[in-house]
Amino acid sequence: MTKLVIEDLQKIYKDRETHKNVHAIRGINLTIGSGELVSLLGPSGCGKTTTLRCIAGFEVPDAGAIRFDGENLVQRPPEQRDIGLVFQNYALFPHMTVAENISFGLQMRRVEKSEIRQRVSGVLDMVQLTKLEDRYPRQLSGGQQQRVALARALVIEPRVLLLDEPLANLDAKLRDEMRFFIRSLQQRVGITTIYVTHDQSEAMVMSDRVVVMFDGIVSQFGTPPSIYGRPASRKVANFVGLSNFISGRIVAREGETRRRVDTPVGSLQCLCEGTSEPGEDALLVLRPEAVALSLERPAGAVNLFPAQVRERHYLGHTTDYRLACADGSLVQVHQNALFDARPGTDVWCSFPAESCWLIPAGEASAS
Amino acid sequence: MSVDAALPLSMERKSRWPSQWSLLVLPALVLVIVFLAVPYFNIVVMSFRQPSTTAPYGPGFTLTNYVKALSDPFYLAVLVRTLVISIAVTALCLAIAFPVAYHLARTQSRMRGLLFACILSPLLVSAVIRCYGWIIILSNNGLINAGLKQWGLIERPLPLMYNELGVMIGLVHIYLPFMVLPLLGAMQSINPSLEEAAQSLGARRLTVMRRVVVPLAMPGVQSGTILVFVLSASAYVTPVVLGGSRVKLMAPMVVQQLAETFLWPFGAALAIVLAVIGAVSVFAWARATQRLMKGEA
Repeated sequence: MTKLVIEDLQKIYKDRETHKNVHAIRGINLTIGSGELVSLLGPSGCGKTTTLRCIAGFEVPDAGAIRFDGENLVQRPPEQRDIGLVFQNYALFPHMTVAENISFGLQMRRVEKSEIRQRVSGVLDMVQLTKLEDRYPRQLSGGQQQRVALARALVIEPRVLLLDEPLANLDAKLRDEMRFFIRSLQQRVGITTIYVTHDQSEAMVMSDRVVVMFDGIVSQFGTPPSIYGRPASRKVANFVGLSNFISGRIVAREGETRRRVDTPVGSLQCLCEGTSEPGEDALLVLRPEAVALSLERPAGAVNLFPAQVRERHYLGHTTDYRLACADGSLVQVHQNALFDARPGTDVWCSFPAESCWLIPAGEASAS
Repeated sequence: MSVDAALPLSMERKSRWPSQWSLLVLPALVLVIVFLAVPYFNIVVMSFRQPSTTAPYGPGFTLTNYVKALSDPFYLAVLVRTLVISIAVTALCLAIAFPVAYHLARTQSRMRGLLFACILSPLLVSAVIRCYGWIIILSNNGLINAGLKQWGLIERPLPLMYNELGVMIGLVHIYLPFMVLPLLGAMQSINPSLEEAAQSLGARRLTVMRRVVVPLAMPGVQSGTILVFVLSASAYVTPVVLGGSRVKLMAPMVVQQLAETFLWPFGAALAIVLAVIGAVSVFAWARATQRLMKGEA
């Protein structure tokens, strides 16, 4: 298995119209453990696909190194990198059958015919596509094509598997299914995998760790819970899920990782990185589902403030409330359908310190 | 109520529209019948007639024209030479056009438009003028021979025209666009990610070409080769100007029968022989390449 290290990777494009240099990626450092699935998550143009194409060898970075188990691959052409690649459009060869598509990589490696047959049927079994080996890609559904593309990439037993938005062309239901399929397949094979996506829920569900990228820079690299629960900046918090932002000033330390913050809605206790000190400005991230609503004032709540229901939207699994706080600011809260309050009702909002995250003012304004 | 009323109306309209629209085909149809089908039929009939000195053809039917066209060694040689030159021109065009079309299909350069114009440029000049341009370059005192002589590389001029070579140079030049354009169309429809996929699976550039680009460009290869072959086999101006009287090809030969020897029925038979053999070879080639496309698949 392969450990993948990216050191200070940079790529500059020349814009065709303005003739200006565009930094597609500016100094990316990543260390990806053997057998790990890491997602590159970010909006389009953030450099995630460029990073992937550098690893695959289709782009030559202007600076930096890409190491497989310590060996720098930057100078090597794509065909000598031993990489499995799955494209957004699957890129199956339309003039070859399923079996021929899958055999292609093995033929390039001059594997013997009998072994090719064996490995093709093995991998078809793995992606649950036996009996379809003589079909042409156009005779398959989107999900089946996707699995052929996976099989074709995996059958060569590559050192690293690269997936470029592989689920973007599937309908919602199939996409959901394929997430789990790909994840369990990846874990069974135990292959180091990079997964490029702009869909945050996809990244959350599938990854061991997530790289959030903006403007060619890594904004945050961490496990899905840490990305969601402890976002490094307002931008990350905004991109990954819904959030309420409450600005305030730190007034007291309450242990290593807790601070008391004065805000327009009241004094709140929250979690922080540990470097924030009293007197500094701060931005609090409060996820809509972290807040509990009640009609009566709850006893013993750490953080509590009153608000009035402005709007109520039924979403099925949950109900979306827009509340107006005492200072006039709006807060979005998700409650399960058991709680019911009409617009105009006065309610209490409460939440534990653990579900309110403090972003230092420097990071907040950097967004 | 309104739905009931609307339904038959819309159905009626639907059935009436096609017949009205199909009337628009009429002018084209008349044109084809009057100026193509009727003369063609006339040529077929004429090819079975006796020659005559007082009329285009004499009375009665005969097979002698075809017997002569297909058994006289002289005319057989003309036919074979025509086919060989056409095949050679087609192969040369394909070899030259393939890399050009691939480059055009993949380039991001702003020179793309200019390159495209260069490809089409042979079509912008009339056939006769283009051929006289080639004479200036290829003749015994032309640019190439004069230049080589000047540098002392040759003593006698190289025979570059009034032979098969000159005809082929001229034909390749004029028919190259007819090969590039279909190839370009086919190659543009090949998604570049297919080539990247092949590369990532371990294929070198040449292997990517052989296993992915060429098979997927086959529809373009097919139509390009058919176009160039048919055009070359029936070429008239270029063989006459660049081949002179020494290189005898079918189309000039037919014209000669009609305009110089006034053997209209025999000329008609030659024309029909060329058309039938051309059609048969195109059909056979289309079948063969079709199988090739499936075989590669």
